[in-house]
Amino acid sequence: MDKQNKLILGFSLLCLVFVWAMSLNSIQPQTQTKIEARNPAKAEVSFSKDDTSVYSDILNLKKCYQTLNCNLDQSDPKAYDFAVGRKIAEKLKEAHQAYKNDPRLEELAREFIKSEDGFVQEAALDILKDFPIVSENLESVVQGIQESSNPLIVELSLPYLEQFLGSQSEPQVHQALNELLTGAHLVSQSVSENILKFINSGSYPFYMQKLIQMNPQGKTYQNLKSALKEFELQQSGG
Amino acid sequence: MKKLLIGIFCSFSGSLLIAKTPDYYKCVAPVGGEWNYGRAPQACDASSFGDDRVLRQDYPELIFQDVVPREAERARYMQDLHSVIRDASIYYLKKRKPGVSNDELNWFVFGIMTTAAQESYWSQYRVTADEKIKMMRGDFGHGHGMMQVDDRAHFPAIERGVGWNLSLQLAYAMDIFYSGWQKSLNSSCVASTADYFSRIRAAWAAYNGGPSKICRWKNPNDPWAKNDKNFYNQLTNRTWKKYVTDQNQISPINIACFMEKGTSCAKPTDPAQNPQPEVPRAQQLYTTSEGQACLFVNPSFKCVQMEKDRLCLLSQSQFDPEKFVPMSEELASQFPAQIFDRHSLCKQYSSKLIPVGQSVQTLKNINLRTSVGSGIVGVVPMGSVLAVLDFEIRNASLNEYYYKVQFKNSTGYLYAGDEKTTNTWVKLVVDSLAPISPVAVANQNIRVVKNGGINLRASPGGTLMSVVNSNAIVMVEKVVIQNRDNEVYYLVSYNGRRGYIYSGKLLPKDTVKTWTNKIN
Repeated sequence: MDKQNKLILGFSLLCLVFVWAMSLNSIQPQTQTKIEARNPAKAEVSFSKDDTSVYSDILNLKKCYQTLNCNLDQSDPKAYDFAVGRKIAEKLKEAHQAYKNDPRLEELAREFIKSEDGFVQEAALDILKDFPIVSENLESVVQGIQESSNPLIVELSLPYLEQFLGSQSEPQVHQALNELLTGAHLVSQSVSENILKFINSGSYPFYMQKLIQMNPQGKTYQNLKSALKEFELQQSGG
Repeated sequence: MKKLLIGIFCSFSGSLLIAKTPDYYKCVAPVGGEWNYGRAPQACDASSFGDDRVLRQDYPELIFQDVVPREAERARYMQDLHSVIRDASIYYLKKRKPGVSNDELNWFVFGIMTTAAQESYWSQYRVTADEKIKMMRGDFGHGHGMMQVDDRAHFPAIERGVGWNLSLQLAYAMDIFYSGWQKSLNSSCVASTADYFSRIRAAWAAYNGGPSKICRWKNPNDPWAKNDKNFYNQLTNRTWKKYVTDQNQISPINIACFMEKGTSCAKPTDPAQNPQPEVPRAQQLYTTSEGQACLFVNPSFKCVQMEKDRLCLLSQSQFDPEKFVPMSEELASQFPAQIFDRHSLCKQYSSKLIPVGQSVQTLKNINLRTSVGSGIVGVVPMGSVLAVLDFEIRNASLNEYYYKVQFKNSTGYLYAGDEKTTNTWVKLVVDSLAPISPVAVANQNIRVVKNGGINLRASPGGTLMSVVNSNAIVMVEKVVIQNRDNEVYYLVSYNGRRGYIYSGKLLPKDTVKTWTNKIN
């Protein structure tokens, strides 16, 4: 048995252990990346009434979703929501330029990454990338993409998630990817194409188990299988 | 149509665009129609978003022929499209919800059929008197195809051919419909999980008006209440049913394969017309549950790993590559299977195929497309030298070649003619290198960058001989590309031993640079 086969056998044995571990949501990071502790994110962002900055513009725009009386295009069923979303995204970009490290900006981004508007999500994600990697931001990003049927916003989020590998939040990343791999058709294909960077010796058994549960005819299955094989080769030296 | 704007934004590359798409974007040679199945008013050349050649090969039964007597053609078209929508919906929901009840499955299928009726009267492709394929457009040209994917919200996806390719469009639309279908369970307007009629109404309201409008259909004062009323009429009238005489007709295309792979799927064989004997039949194409394509040549099956390479099996025996029979587990267990490597088998089948890893020079300006036949990402100018990253051979009567290449910052597929004409489209280049190529060529030096070095083996993936250390520089004596992911192996000599090192793969993502780097 050469080195490659020994490693594959080793992984198979590890698999059983880790399947059990994952059932307890307990994938442990390989190396601990220090992440900052913060207070949990507030459910709703609010600023003082006399705040006349771009922030209050954004919050006023957000109210447009409920009031439906802002002076925006309503020529078809979704034109109004599109218009609100585009304006919020523009304002978020404006705020991002003006107040790079402002904690209020981070709070806004945490809220708007959960928007159902892809333009808004993208603007929020760009903001979060400029802030330290903290678990509450990860939680918001995961909530934002978890049930998404938008392959691009999910794909754009993957490098952000990747930063949490090796941190205490790593299991949350794998759980999110687990959901996405069996989520929306095009999202699952896109995630599976990019899954290799998330496979490490800790997560390998988890993804092996995931593979067993998938439809072997699907592109997602084939991509995941391919990534697992590549990881095995990387571990064994080819 | 009928004022559709699908609820999310989507693309596949780069960034979401904040740009306003003009009315009738890329609407070339528009034609009219009627508010009836298959011929909704307004259609434009499909070729603005993809290659007609591919549509004619993949979806011939799903193209409404204007020149055929109208009602007979409508009946044929509706019967065929019905089976496709039915199978697509069933495949989709079973994948998203394994173990789904038959009751829920039937209602979901009904919901998708009604949505297609509401959006476009099941109108997608149509051939008019000018013999061009037209694609249905609605909402001032913003809505694309049967499910009316809107280019104001989904511009990058439309550019990549999601509106143009019916299978991808159905998958894309069902992702959005399914989201509403599930979210309706927590809405105030759906009484229970089994209140499927309300769930369809809720899912469509969200599809039409956005996720926040899931209960719009309960509010008669909503400015868009008329849309929900129209949809309700579709739900109750089910007018497509009068054209569908056989609810169980076998689909003319393998829609599950197309939804997964996009193109180049063989057609199912109707078991009623072609009963299968207990022993495998010679000259019969079989497909396995893992997507392999096999041919029985006594005493064994000869297989390729991917159905899209099935034409290459013609090098082993004659058969009809466009019709398949699913291979039962029982049949598979009775006979051994020989799996061919696609690269060597396809080269054996077609000597004009340019292998992966080699370079081609374009002999004319050629469109670069996101996938085989679909949206144009740019034009590769005549004289460009490009590395071949993957290939596809289509259409057994012509042998049409498609190559995956990288041009500047874009990766995509280009058409390279057929067996008779390919020499006028591209030529193999041996005396110069493509400026962007992940794969080294013979006589080129490479540096091992993989931590811990790379195993040196007697054959690709074979017996371990030694290890080529990290940072070692070796000269490539030969390049071997293998298997479905286009795995790269180099023949090298190191410390007096000669063997093969693995150097990553090209599909689905290029990993070569994590193993070796070219250094000259």
